Amino acid sequence: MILSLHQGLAVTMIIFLIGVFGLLTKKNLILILLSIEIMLNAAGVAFVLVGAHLGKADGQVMFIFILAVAAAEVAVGLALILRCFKEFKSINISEPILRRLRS
Amino acid sequence: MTILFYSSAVLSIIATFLAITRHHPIHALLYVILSLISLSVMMFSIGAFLAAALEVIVYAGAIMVLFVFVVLIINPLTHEDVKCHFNFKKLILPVFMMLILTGEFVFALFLQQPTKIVSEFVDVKSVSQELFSTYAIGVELSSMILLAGLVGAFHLARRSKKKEGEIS
Repeated sequence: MILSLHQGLAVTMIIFLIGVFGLLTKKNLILILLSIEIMLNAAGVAFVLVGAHLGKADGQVMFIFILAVAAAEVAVGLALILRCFKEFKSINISEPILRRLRS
Repeated sequence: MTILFYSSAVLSIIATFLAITRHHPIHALLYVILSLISLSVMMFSIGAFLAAALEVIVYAGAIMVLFVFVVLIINPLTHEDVKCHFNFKKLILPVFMMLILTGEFVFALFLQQPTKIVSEFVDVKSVSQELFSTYAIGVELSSMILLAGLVGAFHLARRSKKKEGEIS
């Protein structure tokens, strides 16, 4: 059976959509950030797959840059989560916290 | 090689799906680590060696470990949202937009003829040659963004000493 680019991209598409679904439905801040990481990783793997199809190195180079950006974003996001936990004593997004953040 | 590709792809899809259905963050993180490693196996099977190795070392080995450390610090043992009651009325619009996105993906994927996934292996040497000659500015910019992330995370997580009349 031929291993086609479409099957690989379909795999990354499914993982991306799972990440989107997790982002939209979760209340725990850490799980929301984790869903963002799932989406970033799926996009990176899609880049690598297309790069392997074309036989060029640009796909893996793009993957390295996505990795660096994801690392920086995770560091800042987790620091924000720690501050949020220190302030509200809980990391679940709920109505009182949102109201307090808005005011 | 194809059986390796398919099995690791299926494993990573199952692991990601299990990850977002867990309530405890540590269980979800462990499933995501499994998914990342199986995606790395998938990339190894098509010859993208540097990307696969970097995914294990950096993504599953540093970023997810950072997540695990933060979860262990915060220690969310409370089962506040154990019964994850899905508010279906609020979910209609997000699920609808996701279905549109899925339709776009399917449309774009199946519009062309199926093409072979590997034309030739891209080895580490050509990736690093490309990275430091054509994309050298990207390396500098990513070092800047890592510095910005470092400074920002350090400032945000610092314990503020509150004195009288001091602005934190």
